[in-house]
Amino acid sequence: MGKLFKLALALFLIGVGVFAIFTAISDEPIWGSINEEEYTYSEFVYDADEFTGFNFDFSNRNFIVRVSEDDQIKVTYYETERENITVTDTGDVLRIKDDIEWVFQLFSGWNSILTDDEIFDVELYLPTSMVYDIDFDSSNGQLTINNMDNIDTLNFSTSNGRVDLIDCSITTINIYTSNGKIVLEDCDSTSLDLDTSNGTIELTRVDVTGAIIMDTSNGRLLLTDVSALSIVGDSSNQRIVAQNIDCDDVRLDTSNGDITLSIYGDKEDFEVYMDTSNGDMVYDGIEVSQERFNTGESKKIHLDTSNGDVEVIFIEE
Amino acid sequence: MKRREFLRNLKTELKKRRDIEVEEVLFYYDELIQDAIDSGETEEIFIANLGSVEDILRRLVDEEEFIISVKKKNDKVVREVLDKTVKIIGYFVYGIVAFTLVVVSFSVFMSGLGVVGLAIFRLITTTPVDSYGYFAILGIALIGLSLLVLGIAVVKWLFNNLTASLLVIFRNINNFFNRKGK
Repeated sequence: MGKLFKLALALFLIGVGVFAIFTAISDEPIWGSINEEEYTYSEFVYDADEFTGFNFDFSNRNFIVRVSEDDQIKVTYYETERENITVTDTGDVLRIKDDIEWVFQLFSGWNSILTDDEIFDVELYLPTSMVYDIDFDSSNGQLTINNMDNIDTLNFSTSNGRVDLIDCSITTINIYTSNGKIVLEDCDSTSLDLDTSNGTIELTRVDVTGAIIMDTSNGRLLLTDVSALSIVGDSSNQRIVAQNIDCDDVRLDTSNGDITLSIYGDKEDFEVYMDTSNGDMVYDGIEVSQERFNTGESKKIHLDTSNGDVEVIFIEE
Repeated sequence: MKRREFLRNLKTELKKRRDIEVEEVLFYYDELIQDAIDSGETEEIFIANLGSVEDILRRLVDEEEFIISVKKKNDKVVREVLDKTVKIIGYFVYGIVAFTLVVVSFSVFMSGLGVVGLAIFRLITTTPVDSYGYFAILGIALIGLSLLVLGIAVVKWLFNNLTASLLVIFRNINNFFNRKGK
Protein backbone atom coordinates (compact mmCIF):
# COMPACT_ATOMS: atom_id res chain seq x y z
CA MET A 1 0.00 0.00 0.00
CA GLY A 2 1.34 3.45 -0.89
CA LYS A 3 2.47 5.90 1.75
CA LEU A 4 -0.43 8.25 1.04
CA PHE A 5 -2.97 5.46 1.47
CA LYS A 6 -1.38 4.54 4.80
CA LEU A 7 -1.41 8.18 5.86
CA ALA A 8 -5.09 8.52 4.91
CA LEU A 9 -5.98 5.39 6.84
CA ALA A 10 -4.01 6.54 9.89
CA LEU A 11 -5.65 10.00 9.84
CA PHE A 12 -9.07 8.43 9.46
CA LEU A 13 -8.61 6.02 12.35
CA ILE A 14 -7.17 8.70 14.63
CA GLY A 15 -9.94 11.10 13.58
CA VAL A 16 -12.70 8.57 14.27
CA GLY A 17 -11.12 7.66 17.60
CA VAL A 18 -10.66 11.26 18.74
CA PHE A 19 -14.14 12.19 17.55
CA ALA A 20 -15.82 9.21 19.22
CA ILE A 21 -14.06 9.68 22.57
CA PHE A 22 -14.46 13.43 22.87
CA THR A 23 -18.01 13.50 21.54
CA ALA A 24 -18.91 11.02 24.26
CA ILE A 25 -17.40 13.09 27.07
CA SER A 26 -18.15 16.57 25.73
CA ASP A 27 -21.41 18.46 26.08
CA GLU A 28 -20.83 20.09 22.72
CA PRO A 29 -23.80 19.39 20.41
CA ILE A 30 -21.83 18.09 17.47
CA TRP A 31 -24.74 16.88 15.35
CA GLY A 32 -26.70 20.04 15.75
CA SER A 33 -25.42 23.54 16.02
CA ILE A 34 -28.11 24.39 18.48
CA ASN A 35 -28.07 23.01 21.97
CA GLU A 36 -31.38 21.79 23.28
CA GLU A 37 -30.92 23.75 26.48
CA GLU A 38 -30.81 27.02 24.57
CA TYR A 39 -34.40 26.68 23.42
CA THR A 40 -37.03 28.85 25.01
CA TYR A 41 -40.75 28.33 24.77
CA SER A 42 -42.86 30.92 22.94
CA GLU A 43 -46.62 31.14 22.93
CA PHE A 44 -49.00 33.56 21.26
CA VAL A 45 -52.72 33.68 21.89
CA TYR A 46 -55.29 35.52 19.76
CA ASP A 47 -59.05 35.76 19.49
CA ALA A 48 -60.72 33.32 17.12
CA ASP A 49 -61.67 36.02 14.61
CA GLU A 50 -58.39 37.94 14.68
CA PHE A 51 -57.01 36.07 11.66
CA THR A 52 -58.41 34.21 8.70
CA GLY A 53 -55.16 32.73 7.54
CA PHE A 54 -51.76 31.51 8.72
CA ASN A 55 -48.55 31.76 6.80
CA PHE A 56 -45.66 30.01 8.57
CA ASP A 57 -42.21 29.53 7.13
CA PHE A 58 -39.86 27.56 9.35
CA SER A 59 -36.69 25.64 8.57
CA ASN A 60 -36.50 22.14 9.90
CA ARG A 61 -39.65 22.27 11.98
CA ASN A 62 -42.69 20.03 12.15
CA PHE A 63 -46.13 21.59 11.98
CA ILE A 64 -49.00 20.25 14.04
CA VAL A 65 -52.50 21.69 13.76
CA ARG A 66 -54.86 20.93 16.63
CA VAL A 67 -58.35 21.87 17.71
CA SER A 68 -58.37 24.69 20.24
CA GLU A 69 -60.28 23.86 23.38
CA ASP A 70 -60.79 27.45 24.57
CA ASP A 71 -61.96 29.02 21.28
CA GLN A 72 -58.75 30.96 20.92
CA ILE A 73 -55.99 30.78 18.37
CA LYS A 74 -52.77 29.64 19.94
CA VAL A 75 -49.35 29.27 18.37
CA THR A 76 -46.51 27.61 20.23
CA TYR A 77 -42.92 26.90 19.30
CA TYR A 78 -39.42 26.93 20.74
CA GLU A 79 -36.78 29.37 19.66
CA THR A 80 -33.14 30.11 20.24
CA GLU A 81 -31.05 33.25 20.25
CA ARG A 82 -29.46 32.06 17.04
CA GLU A 83 -32.74 32.21 15.20
CA ASN A 84 -34.54 35.31 14.11
CA ILE A 85 -38.24 34.58 14.22
CA THR A 86 -40.41 37.35 12.87
CA VAL A 87 -44.06 37.43 13.89
CA THR A 88 -46.32 39.69 11.86
CA ASP A 89 -49.71 39.75 13.50
CA THR A 90 -51.24 42.72 11.73
CA GLY A 91 -53.77 42.10 8.99
CA ASP A 92 -55.89 39.06 8.35
CA VAL A 93 -53.00 36.66 8.04
CA LEU A 94 -50.69 35.72 10.87
CA ARG A 95 -47.22 35.45 9.42
CA ILE A 96 -44.33 33.81 11.20
CA LYS A 97 -40.99 33.44 9.54
CA ASP A 98 -37.95 31.75 10.90
CA ASP A 99 -34.65 33.16 9.62
CA ILE A 100 -31.75 31.08 10.72
CA GLU A 101 -28.25 31.65 9.46
CA TRP A 102 -27.08 28.86 7.21
CA VAL A 103 -24.12 28.06 9.44
CA PHE A 104 -26.46 27.10 12.26
CA GLN A 105 -28.37 24.82 9.97
CA LEU A 106 -25.38 22.57 9.34
CA PHE A 107 -26.34 19.10 10.52
CA SER A 108 -29.33 20.53 12.38
CA GLY A 109 -31.78 19.55 9.64
CA TRP A 110 -31.49 16.01 10.92
CA ASN A 111 -32.84 17.05 14.30
CA SER A 112 -36.43 17.31 13.18
CA ILE A 113 -36.19 14.07 11.23
CA LEU A 114 -34.33 11.96 13.75
CA THR A 115 -35.98 13.09 16.94
CA ASP A 116 -39.54 13.31 18.17
CA ASP A 117 -38.59 16.12 20.46
CA GLU A 118 -41.30 18.76 20.82
CA ILE A 119 -38.74 21.56 20.55
CA PHE A 120 -38.83 21.07 16.80
CA ASP A 121 -42.61 21.33 16.64
CA VAL A 122 -44.64 24.38 15.72
CA GLU A 123 -48.17 23.89 17.05
CA LEU A 124 -51.20 25.80 15.87
CA TYR A 125 -54.44 25.50 17.84
CA LEU A 126 -57.50 26.55 15.86
CA PRO A 127 -60.98 27.26 17.20
CA THR A 128 -63.80 25.43 15.45
CA SER A 129 -65.98 28.55 15.26
CA MET A 130 -64.15 30.03 12.25
CA VAL A 131 -62.82 28.87 8.89
CA TYR A 132 -59.11 29.43 8.19
CA ASP A 133 -56.55 29.18 5.40
CA ILE A 134 -53.20 27.57 6.05
CA ASP A 135 -50.00 28.13 4.11
CA PHE A 136 -46.99 26.39 5.65
CA ASP A 137 -43.47 25.98 4.42
CA SER A 138 -40.75 23.84 5.96
CA SER A 139 -37.41 22.46 4.78
CA ASN A 140 -37.37 19.15 6.54
CA GLY A 141 -40.45 19.16 8.70
CA GLN A 142 -43.63 17.16 8.76
CA LEU A 143 -47.24 18.25 8.80
CA THR A 144 -49.86 16.59 10.96
CA ILE A 145 -53.50 17.62 11.08
CA ASN A 146 -56.11 15.62 12.99
CA ASN A 147 -59.85 16.10 13.36
CA MET A 148 -60.13 19.50 11.66
CA ASP A 149 -63.13 20.50 9.59
CA ASN A 150 -62.73 24.26 9.40
CA ILE A 151 -59.81 24.72 7.04
CA ASP A 152 -60.64 26.23 3.68
CA THR A 153 -57.33 26.09 1.82
CA LEU A 154 -54.31 24.11 2.89
CA ASN A 155 -51.00 24.74 1.14
CA PHE A 156 -48.01 22.88 2.47
CA SER A 157 -44.54 22.54 1.08
CA THR A 158 -41.59 20.64 2.54
CA SER A 159 -38.52 18.90 1.24
CA ASN A 160 -38.22 15.86 3.42
CA GLY A 161 -41.26 15.73 5.61
CA ARG A 162 -44.18 13.36 5.84
CA VAL A 163 -47.74 14.65 5.67
CA ASP A 164 -50.59 13.13 7.68
CA LEU A 165 -54.14 14.41 7.39
CA ILE A 166 -56.47 12.29 9.49
CA ASP A 167 -60.20 12.80 9.81
CA CYS A 168 -60.22 16.24 8.19
CA SER A 169 -62.57 18.25 6.05
CA ILE A 170 -60.59 20.75 4.01
CA THR A 171 -61.92 22.53 0.95
CA THR A 172 -58.73 22.73 -1.07
CA ILE A 173 -55.60 20.74 -0.39
CA ASN A 174 -52.27 21.40 -2.13
CA ILE A 175 -49.31 19.48 -0.80
CA TYR A 176 -45.79 19.28 -2.12
CA THR A 177 -43.00 17.24 -0.57
CA SER A 178 -39.84 15.93 -2.21
CA ASN A 179 -39.10 12.90 -0.12
CA GLY A 180 -42.01 12.48 2.20
CA LYS A 181 -44.98 10.18 2.29
CA ILE A 182 -48.44 11.72 1.99
CA VAL A 183 -51.21 10.03 3.96
CA LEU A 184 -54.87 11.06 3.97
CA GLU A 185 -57.38 9.08 5.99
CA ASP A 186 -61.10 9.76 6.48
CA CYS A 187 -60.90 13.13 4.75
CA ASP A 188 -63.15 15.06 2.44
CA SER A 189 -62.38 17.95 0.16
CA THR A 190 -63.36 19.62 -3.08
CA SER A 191 -59.93 19.57 -4.63
CA LEU A 192 -56.80 17.58 -3.94
CA ASP A 193 -53.38 18.20 -5.46
CA LEU A 194 -50.61 16.01 -4.05
CA ASP A 195 -47.07 16.01 -5.30
CA THR A 196 -44.07 14.09 -4.00
CA SER A 197 -40.91 13.00 -5.75
CA ASN A 198 -39.91 9.99 -3.74
CA GLY A 199 -42.74 9.30 -1.36
CA THR A 200 -45.81 7.11 -1.40
CA ILE A 201 -49.24 8.71 -1.65
CA GLU A 202 -51.83 6.83 0.38
CA LEU A 203 -55.51 7.79 0.42
CA THR A 204 -57.98 5.84 2.53
CA ARG A 205 -61.69 6.69 2.80
CA VAL A 206 -61.32 10.02 1.03
CA ASP A 207 -64.21 11.87 -0.62
CA VAL A 208 -63.48 14.65 -3.06
CA THR A 209 -66.21 16.45 -4.94
CA GLY A 210 -63.76 17.75 -7.54
CA ALA A 211 -60.50 16.42 -8.90
CA ILE A 212 -57.74 14.42 -7.28
CA ILE A 213 -54.35 15.00 -8.85
CA MET A 214 -51.45 12.92 -7.60
CA ASP A 215 -47.90 12.89 -8.83
CA THR A 216 -44.95 10.90 -7.55
CA SER A 217 -41.79 9.79 -9.28
CA ASN A 218 -40.56 6.97 -7.11
CA GLY A 219 -43.41 6.30 -4.75
CA ARG A 220 -46.49 4.10 -4.87
CA LEU A 221 -50.02 5.37 -5.25
CA LEU A 222 -52.36 3.50 -2.92
CA LEU A 223 -56.03 4.43 -2.93
CA THR A 224 -58.73 2.64 -0.96
CA ASP A 225 -62.40 3.64 -0.74
CA VAL A 226 -61.91 6.90 -2.61
CA SER A 227 -64.57 8.87 -4.41
CA ALA A 228 -63.96 11.87 -6.67
CA LEU A 229 -65.20 13.61 -9.78
CA SER A 230 -61.94 12.76 -11.50
CA ILE A 231 -58.71 11.09 -10.51
CA VAL A 232 -55.37 11.60 -12.18
CA GLY A 233 -52.48 9.59 -10.75
CA ASP A 234 -48.97 9.54 -12.08
CA SER A 235 -46.02 7.53 -10.82
CA SER A 236 -42.85 6.90 -12.74
CA ASN A 237 -41.35 3.92 -11.07
CA GLN A 238 -43.87 2.31 -8.78
CA ARG A 239 -47.14 0.42 -8.81
CA ILE A 240 -50.57 1.95 -8.49
CA VAL A 241 -53.28 0.21 -6.51
CA ALA A 242 -56.73 1.82 -6.46
CA GLN A 243 -59.42 -0.20 -4.72
CA ASN A 244 -63.13 0.50 -4.31
CA ILE A 245 -63.01 3.69 -6.34
CA ASP A 246 -66.12 5.71 -7.05
CA CYS A 247 -65.27 7.98 -9.95
CA ASP A 248 -66.36 8.62 -13.53
CA ASP A 249 -63.00 9.70 -14.89
CA VAL A 250 -59.89 7.81 -13.81
CA ARG A 251 -56.49 8.24 -15.38
CA LEU A 252 -53.58 6.31 -13.89
CA ASP A 253 -50.11 6.28 -15.41
CA THR A 254 -46.84 4.68 -14.38
CA SER A 255 -43.76 3.65 -16.30
CA ASN A 256 -42.48 0.76 -14.23
CA GLY A 257 -45.15 -0.88 -12.14
CA ASP A 258 -48.47 -2.69 -12.11
CA ILE A 259 -51.76 -0.82 -12.15
CA THR A 260 -54.75 -2.32 -10.37
CA LEU A 261 -58.09 -0.56 -10.32
CA SER A 262 -61.35 -1.77 -8.85
CA ILE A 263 -64.14 0.69 -9.55
CA TYR A 264 -67.83 0.91 -8.78
CA GLY A 265 -70.14 0.75 -11.80
CA ASP A 266 -71.27 -1.26 -14.80
CA LYS A 267 -68.42 -2.03 -17.16
CA GLU A 268 -70.64 -1.19 -20.15
CA ASP A 269 -70.79 2.42 -18.95
CA PHE A 270 -67.05 2.98 -19.03
CA GLU A 271 -64.84 3.73 -22.00
CA VAL A 272 -61.68 1.90 -21.04
CA TYR A 273 -58.21 2.29 -22.45
CA MET A 274 -55.48 0.00 -21.16
CA ASP A 275 -51.91 -0.14 -22.34
CA THR A 276 -48.73 -1.94 -21.33
CA SER A 277 -45.59 -2.77 -23.27
CA ASN A 278 -44.33 -5.56 -21.04
CA GLY A 279 -47.13 -7.13 -19.06
CA ASP A 280 -50.60 -8.61 -19.04
CA MET A 281 -53.89 -6.77 -19.34
CA VAL A 282 -56.93 -7.99 -17.42
CA TYR A 283 -60.37 -6.54 -18.12
CA ASP A 284 -62.86 -7.45 -15.42
CA GLY A 285 -61.25 -10.80 -14.67
CA ILE A 286 -60.46 -11.78 -18.27
CA GLU A 287 -57.00 -11.49 -19.78
CA VAL A 288 -57.25 -9.45 -22.97
CA SER A 289 -55.03 -8.09 -25.70
CA GLN A 290 -57.54 -5.49 -26.84
CA GLU A 291 -56.69 -2.00 -25.57
CA ARG A 292 -60.00 -0.15 -25.98
CA PHE A 293 -63.47 -1.02 -24.75
CA ASN A 294 -66.83 0.75 -25.14
CA THR A 295 -65.47 3.70 -27.10
CA GLY A 296 -67.67 6.77 -26.81
CA GLU A 297 -69.03 6.16 -23.32
CA SER A 298 -69.06 9.21 -21.08
CA LYS A 299 -67.26 7.59 -18.13
CA LYS A 300 -63.56 7.15 -18.75
CA ILE A 301 -60.83 4.88 -17.49
CA HIS A 302 -57.28 5.26 -18.78
CA LEU A 303 -54.59 2.93 -17.42
CA ASP A 304 -51.12 3.09 -18.88
CA THR A 305 -47.86 1.44 -17.86
CA SER A 306 -44.76 0.45 -19.77
CA ASN A 307 -43.46 -2.38 -17.64
CA GLY A 308 -46.19 -4.00 -15.59
CA ASP A 309 -49.59 -5.62 -15.57
CA VAL A 310 -52.79 -3.63 -15.91
CA GLU A 311 -56.04 -4.78 -14.36
CA VAL A 312 -59.45 -3.20 -14.05
CA ILE A 313 -62.30 -4.79 -12.07
CA PHE A 314 -65.85 -3.46 -11.91
CA ILE A 315 -67.79 -3.65 -8.66
CA GLU A 316 -71.57 -3.75 -8.66
CA GLU A 317 -73.00 -0.76 -6.79
CA MET B 1 4.43 -26.23 -17.40
CA LYS B 2 1.52 -24.41 -19.01
CA ARG B 3 1.56 -20.68 -19.69
CA ARG B 4 -0.92 -19.75 -16.95
CA GLU B 5 0.98 -21.69 -14.32
CA PHE B 6 4.29 -20.23 -15.45
CA LEU B 7 2.97 -16.66 -15.38
CA ARG B 8 1.32 -17.22 -12.01
CA ASN B 9 4.59 -18.50 -10.51
CA LEU B 10 6.51 -15.67 -12.11
CA LYS B 11 4.07 -13.10 -10.74
CA THR B 12 4.29 -14.56 -7.24
CA GLU B 13 8.08 -14.32 -7.27
CA LEU B 14 8.16 -10.90 -8.90
CA LYS B 15 5.85 -9.45 -6.29
CA LYS B 16 8.40 -10.25 -3.63
CA ARG B 17 10.79 -7.79 -5.30
CA ARG B 18 9.93 -4.14 -5.05
CA ASP B 19 12.54 -3.09 -7.59
CA ILE B 20 10.98 -4.97 -10.48
CA GLU B 21 8.05 -3.73 -12.48
CA VAL B 22 5.84 -6.80 -12.39
CA GLU B 23 3.42 -6.03 -15.18
CA GLU B 24 6.20 -5.11 -17.65
CA VAL B 25 7.84 -8.50 -17.12
CA LEU B 26 4.60 -10.46 -17.22
CA PHE B 27 3.52 -8.73 -20.42
CA TYR B 28 6.92 -9.45 -21.98
CA TYR B 29 6.87 -13.16 -21.21
CA ASP B 30 3.21 -13.53 -22.09
CA GLU B 31 3.89 -12.02 -25.50
CA LEU B 32 7.02 -14.13 -25.91
CA ILE B 33 5.06 -17.32 -25.27
CA GLN B 34 2.24 -16.23 -27.56
CA ASP B 35 4.72 -15.52 -30.37
CA ALA B 36 6.20 -18.98 -29.92
CA ILE B 37 2.78 -20.63 -30.03
CA ASP B 38 1.85 -18.62 -33.11
CA SER B 39 5.01 -19.80 -34.87
CA GLY B 40 4.15 -23.43 -34.17
CA GLU B 41 6.24 -24.19 -31.11
CA THR B 42 4.91 -26.32 -28.27
CA GLU B 43 3.90 -24.24 -25.25
CA GLU B 44 5.37 -26.52 -22.58
CA ILE B 45 8.71 -27.02 -24.38
CA PHE B 46 9.14 -23.30 -25.02
CA ILE B 47 8.40 -22.46 -21.39
CA ALA B 48 10.85 -25.11 -20.24
CA ASN B 49 13.51 -23.52 -22.45
CA LEU B 50 12.91 -20.12 -20.86
CA GLY B 51 14.55 -21.39 -17.70
CA SER B 52 13.25 -21.46 -14.16
CA VAL B 53 11.45 -18.55 -12.55
CA GLU B 54 14.47 -18.14 -10.28
CA ASP B 55 16.74 -17.83 -13.32
CA ILE B 56 14.56 -15.16 -14.79
CA LEU B 57 14.52 -13.26 -11.51
CA ARG B 58 18.28 -13.47 -11.24
CA ARG B 59 18.63 -12.16 -14.77
CA LEU B 60 16.27 -9.30 -14.08
CA VAL B 61 18.24 -8.27 -11.02
CA ASP B 62 21.74 -8.82 -12.41
CA GLU B 63 21.35 -7.57 -15.96
CA GLU B 64 20.25 -3.99 -16.02
CA GLU B 65 20.02 -4.06 -19.78
CA PHE B 66 17.62 -6.96 -19.73
CA ILE B 67 14.82 -4.98 -18.07
CA ILE B 68 15.49 -2.11 -20.49
CA SER B 69 15.12 -4.49 -23.42
CA VAL B 70 11.93 -5.87 -21.84
CA LYS B 71 10.43 -2.39 -21.70
CA LYS B 72 11.58 -1.59 -25.24
CA LYS B 73 10.02 -4.78 -26.53
CA ASN B 74 6.78 -4.05 -24.68
CA ASP B 75 6.64 -0.56 -26.17
CA LYS B 76 7.20 -2.01 -29.62
CA VAL B 77 4.54 -4.67 -29.11
CA VAL B 78 2.01 -2.10 -27.94
CA ARG B 79 2.94 0.26 -30.78
CA GLU B 80 3.30 -2.14 -33.69
CA VAL B 81 2.28 -5.70 -32.96
CA LEU B 82 -0.77 -5.49 -30.74
CA ASP B 83 -4.01 -5.80 -32.61
CA LYS B 84 -5.81 -2.50 -33.19
CA THR B 85 -9.03 -3.85 -31.71
CA VAL B 86 -7.21 -4.89 -28.54
CA LYS B 87 -5.65 -1.44 -28.28
CA ILE B 88 -8.94 0.38 -28.84
CA ILE B 89 -10.78 -1.75 -26.28
CA GLY B 90 -7.83 -1.47 -23.89
CA TYR B 91 -7.67 2.30 -24.04
CA PHE B 92 -11.45 2.48 -23.80
CA VAL B 93 -11.55 0.27 -20.69
CA TYR B 94 -8.66 2.18 -19.16
CA GLY B 95 -10.38 5.48 -19.98
CA ILE B 96 -13.59 4.43 -18.23
CA VAL B 97 -11.77 3.09 -15.17
CA ALA B 98 -9.49 6.13 -14.97
CA PHE B 99 -12.36 8.56 -15.45
CA THR B 100 -14.43 6.84 -12.77
CA LEU B 101 -11.51 6.81 -10.34
CA VAL B 102 -10.71 10.47 -10.99
CA VAL B 103 -14.34 11.49 -10.49
CA VAL B 104 -14.65 9.43 -7.29
CA SER B 105 -11.34 10.66 -5.90
CA PHE B 106 -12.27 14.24 -6.77
CA SER B 107 -15.55 13.79 -4.89
CA VAL B 108 -13.73 12.27 -1.92
CA PHE B 109 -11.18 15.10 -2.02
CA MET B 110 -13.89 17.77 -2.13
CA SER B 111 -15.85 16.05 0.64
CA GLY B 112 -12.70 16.04 2.76
CA LEU B 113 -12.09 19.68 1.96
CA GLY B 114 -15.68 20.45 2.91
CA VAL B 115 -15.47 18.60 6.22
CA VAL B 116 -12.19 20.30 7.13
CA GLY B 117 -13.66 23.65 6.11
CA LEU B 118 -16.75 23.08 8.21
CA ALA B 119 -14.72 22.10 11.23
CA ILE B 120 -12.59 25.24 10.92
CA PHE B 121 -15.64 27.39 10.29
CA ARG B 122 -17.38 25.93 13.29
CA LEU B 123 -14.40 26.76 15.48
CA ILE B 124 -14.29 30.31 14.16
CA THR B 125 -17.99 31.05 14.48
CA THR B 126 -18.89 29.26 17.72
CA THR B 127 -17.02 28.55 20.90
CA PRO B 128 -17.40 24.95 22.05
CA VAL B 129 -19.12 24.59 25.42
CA ASP B 130 -16.11 22.81 26.92
CA SER B 131 -12.50 22.01 26.02
CA TYR B 132 -13.43 18.47 24.98
CA GLY B 133 -15.55 20.04 22.25
CA TYR B 134 -12.38 21.35 20.57
CA PHE B 135 -11.03 17.82 20.35
CA ALA B 136 -14.31 16.48 19.02
CA ILE B 137 -14.17 19.06 16.24
CA LEU B 138 -10.49 18.24 15.72
CA GLY B 139 -11.59 14.62 15.22
CA ILE B 140 -13.97 15.74 12.47
CA ALA B 141 -11.17 17.77 10.89
CA LEU B 142 -8.89 14.73 10.90
CA ILE B 143 -11.57 12.60 9.23
CA GLY B 144 -11.91 15.31 6.60
CA LEU B 145 -8.15 15.46 6.19
CA SER B 146 -8.03 11.69 5.70
CA LEU B 147 -10.59 11.94 2.88
CA LEU B 148 -8.56 14.73 1.35
CA VAL B 149 -5.37 12.65 1.39
CA LEU B 150 -7.25 9.59 0.09
CA GLY B 151 -8.47 11.57 -2.92
CA ILE B 152 -4.90 12.65 -3.71
CA ALA B 153 -3.57 9.12 -3.12
CA VAL B 154 -5.96 7.55 -5.63
CA VAL B 155 -5.06 10.05 -8.37
CA LYS B 156 -1.35 9.71 -7.66
CA TRP B 157 -1.62 5.91 -7.77
CA LEU B 158 -3.51 6.13 -11.04
CA PHE B 159 -0.83 8.18 -12.75
CA ASN B 160 2.07 6.22 -11.26
CA ASN B 161 0.63 2.97 -12.54
CA LEU B 162 -0.50 4.20 -15.93
CA THR B 163 1.75 1.90 -18.00
CA ALA B 164 1.34 -1.09 -15.73
CA SER B 165 -2.45 -0.76 -15.73
CA LEU B 166 -2.54 -0.50 -19.50
CA LEU B 167 -0.35 -3.58 -19.85
CA VAL B 168 -2.62 -5.57 -17.51
CA ILE B 169 -5.66 -4.56 -19.55
CA PHE B 170 -3.94 -5.28 -22.90
CA ARG B 171 -2.67 -8.65 -21.67
CA ASN B 172 -6.10 -9.72 -20.43
CA ILE B 173 -7.91 -8.58 -23.56
CA ASN B 174 -5.28 -10.23 -25.75
CA ASN B 175 -5.59 -13.51 -23.84
CA PHE B 176 -9.35 -13.30 -24.08
CA PHE B 177 -9.20 -12.93 -27.86
CA ASN B 178 -6.60 -15.69 -28.13
CA ARG B 179 -8.85 -18.05 -26.17
CA LYS B 180 -11.83 -17.13 -28.32
CA GLY B 181 -9.68 -17.60 -31.43
CA LYS B 182 -8.85 -21.14 -30.38
